[in-house]
Amino acid sequence: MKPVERFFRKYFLSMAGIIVLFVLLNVVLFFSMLIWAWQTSEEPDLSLEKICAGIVMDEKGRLTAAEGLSGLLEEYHAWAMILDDAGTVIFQRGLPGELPRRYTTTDVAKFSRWYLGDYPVYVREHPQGLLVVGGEKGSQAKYYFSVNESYVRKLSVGLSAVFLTNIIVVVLLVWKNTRHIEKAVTPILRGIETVSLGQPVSLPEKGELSEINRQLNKAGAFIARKDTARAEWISGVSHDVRTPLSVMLGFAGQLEDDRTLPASAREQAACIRKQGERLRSLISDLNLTSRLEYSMQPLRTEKVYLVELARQVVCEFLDGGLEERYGIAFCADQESESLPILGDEALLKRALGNLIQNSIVHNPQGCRISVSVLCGEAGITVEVTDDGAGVSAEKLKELTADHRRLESTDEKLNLRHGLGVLLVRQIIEAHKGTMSMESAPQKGFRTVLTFPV
Amino acid sequence: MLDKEILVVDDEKDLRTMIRSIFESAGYTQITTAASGEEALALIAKKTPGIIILDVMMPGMDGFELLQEIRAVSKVPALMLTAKGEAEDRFAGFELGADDYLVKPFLPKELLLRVQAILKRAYPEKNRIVTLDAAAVDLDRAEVIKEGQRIPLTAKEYSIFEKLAENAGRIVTIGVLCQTLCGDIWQGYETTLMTHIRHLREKIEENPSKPVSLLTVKGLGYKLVVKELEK
Repeated sequence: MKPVERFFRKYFLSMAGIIVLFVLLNVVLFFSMLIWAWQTSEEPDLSLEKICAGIVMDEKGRLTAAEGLSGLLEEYHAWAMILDDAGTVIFQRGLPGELPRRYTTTDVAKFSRWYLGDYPVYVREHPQGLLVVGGEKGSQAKYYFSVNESYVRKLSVGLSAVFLTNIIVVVLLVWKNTRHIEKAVTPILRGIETVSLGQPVSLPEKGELSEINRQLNKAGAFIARKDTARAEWISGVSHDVRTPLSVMLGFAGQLEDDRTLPASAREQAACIRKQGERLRSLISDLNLTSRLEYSMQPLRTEKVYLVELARQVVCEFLDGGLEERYGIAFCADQESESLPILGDEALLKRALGNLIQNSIVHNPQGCRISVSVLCGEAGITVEVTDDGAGVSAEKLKELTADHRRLESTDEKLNLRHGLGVLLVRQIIEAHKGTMSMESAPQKGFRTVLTFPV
Repeated sequence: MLDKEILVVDDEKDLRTMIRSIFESAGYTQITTAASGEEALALIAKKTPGIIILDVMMPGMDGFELLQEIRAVSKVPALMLTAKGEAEDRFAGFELGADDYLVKPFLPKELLLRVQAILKRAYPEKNRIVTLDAAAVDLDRAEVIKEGQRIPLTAKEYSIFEKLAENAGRIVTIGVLCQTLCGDIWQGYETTLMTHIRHLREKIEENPSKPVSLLTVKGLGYKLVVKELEK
């Protein structure tokens, strides 16, 4: 079932797409957050460069603070000092009293990485020594970071692996989930399709969705019951109509043959008889069509010789008082004469009879009909051709379209085309045969039935 | 034939009247009717009719039950009327001993033809002579009477001629004739049939190459034209 498979393939792809989109979105969000934080966080306080430049030598060779240094430091609650090579403070501004005035190399190494006291400090080279700037306690977070090069490489590879594994696992899980849903839903969708075709449905009533299956089975059974009821109803009506119609046809036939009656009365009786016969064939076609439609008519297959069968049907027409303006020619080849097919003789006779009858009914001005039974590559073909009025292209299209049998009625409940053709198609299909029709206005009508041997 | 008693059994009064009038206008003189199986059995007990026409669908005792009851006491020929579609169900009455059946609704001539055929089969006439254009055929003695001479028919020729005479005026298909000749497996005997037909024509036709009695219907079969029927 293609649409269902397509649906699930689409569903899976869309899920995979959602995951990719999700990952991309996160990457974009992460970087934009970094940029945003960097741009919107406060200026990294006081610039060491400015401070460094603010401490200069005066004419006497002493270090002094240039103009604005004290203001700058105060603004940030910071302090600054310069250590000489021996670790002695040779200049300071705002240095807290609790801090020593001399530092050993160890002290310098320690605070340059971490804190001095609790003050976050930064160091910079100054022409006169080491500039140390301290910030307010707790104003800066200070980390020292140093890692092995191979560790960094391994870490980056590991992180990508984790990331990839995550993606693969998620995609696999989605795929498995999709399969699971597909497995559960596919029988249901198939069931719906079966029901829509009017065929009996029987789904296993187990699993998580058993309730839906059960309901679908119920729906199928319900439709089947309704179909059977309809076919039985049609069958019942057609039975009941037969007796009254017998009486009408019987009396009309007698009046038609009664030579004591005036010609006009006999003509009228003939008219009643003809219409009665039409009604008769309509009823039996309707009944048989509905029985075939709802599979109430089992085929009684036996060996059937189509040539002899066609001969008998044609002879019935010829012996049954076929009017002068009609002629039926018959031909068959030697090969098909002794080639049997498996079929229901009564139904096949009915199909062929309907085709010949159609040619007669649709050509009231008369026509030549020819019936041939020939052996071909595809099997045995039975062809019924007439040289009568034919039909228009639209009408032919309507006739050849595969309507849903009894549903092929328009709003006024008129059968769009003759029940006769419908019945022929059903019978041929029941025999695994094919039916094709050709016609054009004034070019006659040709029907070819092909039966596999 | 026309004096054979016909018993019509049907619960529908109008149908009985209609059937009675069909046979009356065809010249039959003795027609009785019964509205139910019980009534029919009572009539048969008094006098066995020539043929019974009975409806399958009747309230109470239906046609099949009635036929069973009749067959227990008599072999009287029976034609059953059924309201089931022709292709719908295989007719169940044959196993019970019905001679033929007719699907409703039917035309008067359809009923007459069937009844005549049954009567012919059930009550074969003595001195069955079929009169043709150039000759007559004595079916009882299997002889052709032509220009005062008696020419015997072979068994095969006789069976073919009998089949054609039974269906005089109608086409008998090649298949049916071959079947009469050779039984159920008849395919491939078409040429044999043609040989027999040729021999038959030599015996019954004045000019066998221009037949007027035993006609060929191209591709379909043969038709016997009988003089009596032409009247």
